[in-house]
Amino acid sequence: MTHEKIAPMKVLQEWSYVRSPIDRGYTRKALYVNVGKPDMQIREIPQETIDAFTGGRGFGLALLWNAVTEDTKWNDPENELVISGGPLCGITQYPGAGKCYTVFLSPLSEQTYDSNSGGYWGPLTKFSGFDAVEIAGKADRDVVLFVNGDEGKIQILESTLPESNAYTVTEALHDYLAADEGDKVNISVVSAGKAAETTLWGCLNMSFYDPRRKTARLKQAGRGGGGTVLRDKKIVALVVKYSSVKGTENNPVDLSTLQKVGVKLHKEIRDLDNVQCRMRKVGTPHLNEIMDEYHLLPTNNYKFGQNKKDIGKIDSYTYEKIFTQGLPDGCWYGCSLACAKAVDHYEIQTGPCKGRSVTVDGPEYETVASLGSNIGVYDPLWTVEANFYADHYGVDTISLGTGLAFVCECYELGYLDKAKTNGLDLSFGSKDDLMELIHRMAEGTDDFARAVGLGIKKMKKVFAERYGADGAVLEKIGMEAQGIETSEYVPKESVAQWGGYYLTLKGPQHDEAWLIFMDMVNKQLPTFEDKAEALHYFPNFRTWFSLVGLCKLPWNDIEPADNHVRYRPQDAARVPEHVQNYVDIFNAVTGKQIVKEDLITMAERVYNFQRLFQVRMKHGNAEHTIPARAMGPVFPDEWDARKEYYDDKLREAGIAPEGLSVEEKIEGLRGHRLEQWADLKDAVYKRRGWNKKGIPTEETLKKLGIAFPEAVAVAKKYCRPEDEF
Amino acid sequence: MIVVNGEELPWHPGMTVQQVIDAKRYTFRMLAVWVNDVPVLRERFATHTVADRDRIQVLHMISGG
Repeated sequence: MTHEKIAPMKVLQEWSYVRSPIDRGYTRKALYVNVGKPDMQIREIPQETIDAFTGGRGFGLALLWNAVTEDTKWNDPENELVISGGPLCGITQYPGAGKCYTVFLSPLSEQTYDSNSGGYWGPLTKFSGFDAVEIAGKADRDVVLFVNGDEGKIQILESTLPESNAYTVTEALHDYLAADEGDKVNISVVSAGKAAETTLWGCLNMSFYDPRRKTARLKQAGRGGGGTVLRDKKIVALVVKYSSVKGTENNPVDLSTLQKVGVKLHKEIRDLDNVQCRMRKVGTPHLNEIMDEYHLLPTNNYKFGQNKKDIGKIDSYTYEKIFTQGLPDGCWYGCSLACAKAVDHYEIQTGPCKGRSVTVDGPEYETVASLGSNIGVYDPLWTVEANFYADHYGVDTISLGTGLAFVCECYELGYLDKAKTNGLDLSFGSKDDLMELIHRMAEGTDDFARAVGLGIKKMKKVFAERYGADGAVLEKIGMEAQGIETSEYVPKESVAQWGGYYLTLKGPQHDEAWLIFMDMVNKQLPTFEDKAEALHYFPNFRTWFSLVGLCKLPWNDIEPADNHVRYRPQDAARVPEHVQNYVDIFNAVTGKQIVKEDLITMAERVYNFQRLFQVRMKHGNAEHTIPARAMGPVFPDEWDARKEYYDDKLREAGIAPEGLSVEEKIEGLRGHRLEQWADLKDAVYKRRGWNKKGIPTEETLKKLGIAFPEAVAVAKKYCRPEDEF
Repeated sequence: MIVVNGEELPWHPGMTVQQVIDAKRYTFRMLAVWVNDVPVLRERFATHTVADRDRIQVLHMISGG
């Protein structure tokens, strides 16, 4: 996208520092900047913190814990954005090693959130000397925070950018701070956008420069409202520059092993990706038609999981044609899985960028569903445009899509009409008016659009109070928990996935456990204890990625050729050879001698610490909830769409469907499933070492080596004897 | 009759693993198949035949996200 050159930015504050060398994956330094005071400190990260929290999300939580009190709100200056990669972040030998994790108090959930992203920010800040960047305070005007790793300078610049929207900001800053075209790859920009100022769904866009396309690409730390926090601090962008990237930047102790393990995975990807997930051709949208086939593709606010009539319009083969092929689409050096697909030369049809030719990152599977089937839209180019504007305006595509799906259903239920929506027809599939609503949300002047941007949790209240909607129905169909909109899988028919979404640290996001196939199709988790075991292992294993700076996708979106015959079924799902790869590369970088069980222990420490952090921020009231639609049909048309299936489910529950009305059947199944939810919750809490209210016990903290006095104080404050198992 | 993931499925002579997968409408590519606790290579799904009363596990590996 073209942009005008920006005027010189005045340096409001500048500090010099001496770049710390990286040793075995760590700089052992955190950069603290308060943009309000302003203040800068370089803080030591002690060995005890490394031992307990490893890095990445773990460092973010540890630093945030010290920055806030239990009464801190998301928009207090004390709230921070802490961005950290982890000890493996920035290696170039193994695919998927450019991830970083942003931790903050979320405006949506009012507790901690961690959101991960690719792009170059994580590696370049580490190479600039920092394992973590901690941003506090609120500026009194729009600013840009610049970490200049080349010159050892931290600057707060007065923004001269014409707007906060992401593509404008990112391209202008790559241009402004690069010496020439070739220098642009040495820069990464973190930005949000206009909708991060007007909604609570603000995302963080993290850039990398694509020299072949000659344009900046954007990856998103999408969820939880981190972009809203950024703009609340009046930060238009964070920028890092570091120009001497080498493959040995992390100073690993055993480069040879690192290279050997990396080459093995590169070869697997080269040989097998085309017959497995086709990530290099189509990325995560390889799932589109598969999810539809298994009744898992959210359709019309999760009412249904399938739309046989229209799936062909948005299947992976359609997107394969839309995505540019043949370009190496890795979002960090060395990622041969290369799933960061893009649509090039797309001409924008609506809004302020109308007529411009742009490169759009994505859409990924989640966006195909959220800004597609879930709102009844089966026009892939509309989804591409909505994806573009979501990124540009700085709004999370998942929350946006799930939120719009809720709005559409409210419209069709008659709770909303054109008088209330200021003239918009927001029934499912009304794509022109839905796009107009997205633009209005970014503009922030329309009262209805502003209400939508508060998120489903608050929308339920507003729609009931302002428009007289039936609050009980809204509770059933609003697909949120902990204030976070559900991501894009229909969880209704997998009891284990209820836990994968709703017994989680931060709400229904798909980064903890995806157990639908294991549970619902493979039938590998027949008992609540089996499900609880999976809901212990997988969330912890997935957490480990967030501690070290790795992407999850190369774990199991590619698997060794013999994985499916070499291991027993229960083990094969964990892809044991890749788990061993992670042990080997962690040891090769850090010089430690961990074994595979240690991955879980490392993660468990952080997982439990974060859970305790949530309990602290919620003053003890952090029990998990699940919306009715996540557990089964709410309305008769949902039941009737799979009548035989649901009648069978009722029989399995010991209730004969014969002679019952559909409404009675729905209530019968719901009653049974609520009992299952209670049993699941107990089994999971018990397996995790929590009490009946979901609070980690003092004994659990001791066992994991995280019984810090302040953590124990929280456990003691909220654990009551009557809640023990 | 054979049993696939705990559910009965009509069997016919010469039925292959791939036909079992098709009958169950399992369209996911990352499948692992075990017939009576013996694994079957993906390359052999189209030729490996199953016998009446075989117990078959068709496992969908996790991916995505």
